[in-house]
Amino acid sequence: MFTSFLYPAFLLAGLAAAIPLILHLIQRLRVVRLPFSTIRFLELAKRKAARRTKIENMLLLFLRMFVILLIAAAFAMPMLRTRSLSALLRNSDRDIAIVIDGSYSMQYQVGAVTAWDRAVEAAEAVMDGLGGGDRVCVFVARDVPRPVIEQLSSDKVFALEQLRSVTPDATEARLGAAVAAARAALDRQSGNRERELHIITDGQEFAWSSFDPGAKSPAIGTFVTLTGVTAPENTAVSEVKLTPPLILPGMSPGVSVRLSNTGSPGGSPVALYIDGRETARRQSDLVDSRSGEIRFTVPPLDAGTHEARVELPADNLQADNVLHFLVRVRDNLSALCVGDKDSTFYLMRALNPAGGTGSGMQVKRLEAAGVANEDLAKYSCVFLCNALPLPGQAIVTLERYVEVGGLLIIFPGDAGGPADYRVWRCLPGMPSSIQDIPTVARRCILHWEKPQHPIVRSLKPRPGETPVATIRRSLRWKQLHEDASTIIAAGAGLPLLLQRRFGNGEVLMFSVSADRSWGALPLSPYFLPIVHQLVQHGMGMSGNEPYVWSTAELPLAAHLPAATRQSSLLNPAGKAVPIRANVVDGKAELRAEGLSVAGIYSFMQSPTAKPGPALAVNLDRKESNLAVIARDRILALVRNKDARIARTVSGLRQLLVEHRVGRTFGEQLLWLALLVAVAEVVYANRKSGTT
Amino acid sequence: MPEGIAAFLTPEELHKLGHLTLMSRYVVEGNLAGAHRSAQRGASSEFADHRAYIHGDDPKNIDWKVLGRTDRYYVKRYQDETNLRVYLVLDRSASMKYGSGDITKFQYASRLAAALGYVVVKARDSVGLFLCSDKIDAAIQAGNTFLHLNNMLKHVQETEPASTTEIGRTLNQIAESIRKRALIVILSDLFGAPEELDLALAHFRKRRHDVIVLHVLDPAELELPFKTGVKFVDMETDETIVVDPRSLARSYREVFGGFMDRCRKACAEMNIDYRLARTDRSFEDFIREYLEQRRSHH
Repeated sequence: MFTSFLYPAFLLAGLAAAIPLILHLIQRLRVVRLPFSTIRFLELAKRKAARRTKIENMLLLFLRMFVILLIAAAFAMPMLRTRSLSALLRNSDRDIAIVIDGSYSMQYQVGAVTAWDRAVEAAEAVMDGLGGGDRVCVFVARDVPRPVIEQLSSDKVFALEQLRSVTPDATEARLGAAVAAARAALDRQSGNRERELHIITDGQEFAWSSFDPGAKSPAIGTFVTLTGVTAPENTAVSEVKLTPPLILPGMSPGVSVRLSNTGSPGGSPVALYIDGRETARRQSDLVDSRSGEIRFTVPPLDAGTHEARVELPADNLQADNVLHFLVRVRDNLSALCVGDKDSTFYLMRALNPAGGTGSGMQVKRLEAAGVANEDLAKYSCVFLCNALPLPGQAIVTLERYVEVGGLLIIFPGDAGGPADYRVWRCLPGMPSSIQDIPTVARRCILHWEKPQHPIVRSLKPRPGETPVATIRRSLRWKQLHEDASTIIAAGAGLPLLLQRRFGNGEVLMFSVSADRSWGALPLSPYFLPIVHQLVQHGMGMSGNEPYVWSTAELPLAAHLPAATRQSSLLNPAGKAVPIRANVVDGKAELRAEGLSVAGIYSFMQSPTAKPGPALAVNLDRKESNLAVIARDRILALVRNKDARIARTVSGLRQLLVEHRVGRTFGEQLLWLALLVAVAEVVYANRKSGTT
Repeated sequence: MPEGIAAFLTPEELHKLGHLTLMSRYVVEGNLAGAHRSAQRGASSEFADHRAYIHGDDPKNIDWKVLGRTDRYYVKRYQDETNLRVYLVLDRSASMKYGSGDITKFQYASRLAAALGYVVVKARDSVGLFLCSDKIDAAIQAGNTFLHLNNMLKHVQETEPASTTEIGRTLNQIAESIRKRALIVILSDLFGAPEELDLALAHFRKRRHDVIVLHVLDPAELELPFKTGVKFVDMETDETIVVDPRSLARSYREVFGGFMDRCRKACAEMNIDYRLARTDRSFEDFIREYLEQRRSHH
């Protein structure tokens, strides 16, 4: 600690401490002459009290001089500084790094003022009073730190302008990364300068969850300003689920809405809007004060993509009161069969037993050579019927189709041998051989190895009936992929239907052909329902998430597989979202960038196409939990026990004054002077023996 | 300008003093305290008068005839019985000239002497006077008339305090000069050599004199109440000393208190009645209180 004086000129008044001494000396010279009866006793008393009198007089003199010195020092306003003497001697210029929480929780509003407004005010307070030699850098903490002023700059006016132009983003805040960037900016500068680090946030715990303290930096004065309220209250729509995932015309899907709450529990009305019209309204019931769930039933909708949203009444943080989503109603199911006419005959019949287009199932047959050029995205599933071997490009296309969420069902055949499967990456297992089954063993009982699997869940044998199939030839596997599983087994240990997830999609592999060359499965009463379930299963998997969280970039293949370089994506404000093409693992990949605005995004396949709702983007709800971080935890995270924490801007100003200017203890000195003066009076009176 | 008694006592004061008596504690001529009876037994002393009986009087002296006539007790007094000789020793050294208030010590002591003299003469006893400083400045033999007292007090009135104090030596001389037993009243500030004073007092007691010491002091001498620095000038020697009375007060009081204790103790050891007579106290109150106390102790 070091002490300096705010008004050192007053120290000259300390010279007045010589007045008691001078008076003391003058007093000796000027006395009253007084005749007295006898001086004998005075002489005796003087001799007796000589030593004591001298000490008492000196003590009184000292007290009087001390009082004057204390008063002079008090008026000189000594300042107690919190930085080291050596640092003071070196340089008094400062480098200041400011990190502001830029998450959407900073939009929490009380009255007309948000936590962000107070944060900007706090940043202004930090920059107030900085001298010409002081420098400042500013970072906004988001999911990725955003530098406002990255290099330390002495242009504080510019820094303030830049800061005022920033607004909280629809993201979470990762204070740790921003603080690390700020510290790095401070560390890059050489020279012996004072350093300050200011973290301005609303005090929400989540922003600190990723905080990595890093190395201790005791030389940096650390200030944390909490601009949020101490007991925030917020209710948010945190999740929406549609059931079933595959919706067809005439179905009444269910919408499950999950609510999260901070603060005192209460009920809020929750409204469901479909295509801009309020469809239903329910009162929420937050059972444990932190979460609650409401279920709506949506009336049957026409085929198409419907904009929907769930909405809460306005509260202090409005950014999370609405959750947008899309309800996709399929007009029909689509499937692609790859293979020659004979190989696909039974499958095509099973998929569309009545023929025509009235069944709701659209089936297309394609020769193997045409796979590479086919747009597979529009099919809920792709069947390969004795289609192997396939050209390499076709395999690539199919694997990509599965990766982005498609369902591939493979029926083997005589056209391909085990070697033709080895180039595949997505199979549940590499067949080791094709085996003929002896006649006595050809009649196989079918077992549902996973009875709850969506494919077989609804296939319940009639009482007394045992599902059987005649199998003459089948694929054999020595070892399956570690992610593979058997859904249906035939006989003892013979997998009939294998499954493996690959990327976002699945690969299902039969061990028998789709025609009668390997068995009588196509003639089995279960063939048709199994095949239908396969198609529906595929529909349920294909990229139909009702919404996504806001993100800096989004791969379009999974969400908008139809997107091309000529496609456009418009945000809710109608502004085009950049779409970039990146090459990943040798494959071109389209990504949309800057999906930060919540709402329904429209997609145009081509410049001339009509835009339609294609993507629902919402703020990630992590920031909606406004639980407040404890003060001790902040100190532990910043790893600086001298860090200061302010809850108001005025409190911050006070801390800054104490840190930069120092703390005056003039008042304390005046009190001490008063005590010493009282002591002097009491002692002097006692000494003279008068009251 | 009034002279003599009138210079020191107002008629009212005289009236109040008329009821008081000064008793000797010892047998002047061999009698017990309270009775001024002659020590010479059997000597034919001429009847002088009656006086009222007081507790302690020898019943043999009660005049029964007067009792029969008046129903009151009276004792006969003879010439020898009434002949209490009181000698007032008045210190006239320069230190007695000090006074911080309206009255100096010498003036106060003079008034005390006047009051005591009046009480003695009123009781038809004899009173004499010694004025002393560094020597016996005046010696007036005892007499029992008011005229005598008046002349004596005129002498006092004309005396100015001066010279130094040799109280011990002069008291010794006085003791030597008084042959017959008497009551010696010393009115002084006793600022002499303590050992000499002790010897002088012992000399008085050895000669069987009854001694009263009225220690006349000014309150300023007792308390040293001065606030500012003072250059004190000794009124007897003109020596000076510069002190800060405020810082010295406590030590001074200790020293002066020790001096007074010494005087008191020395008197007590010799059975000498010692009283402090502060000049800020009404002398009338002092005299009355003292004489009544003295009488009650007899």
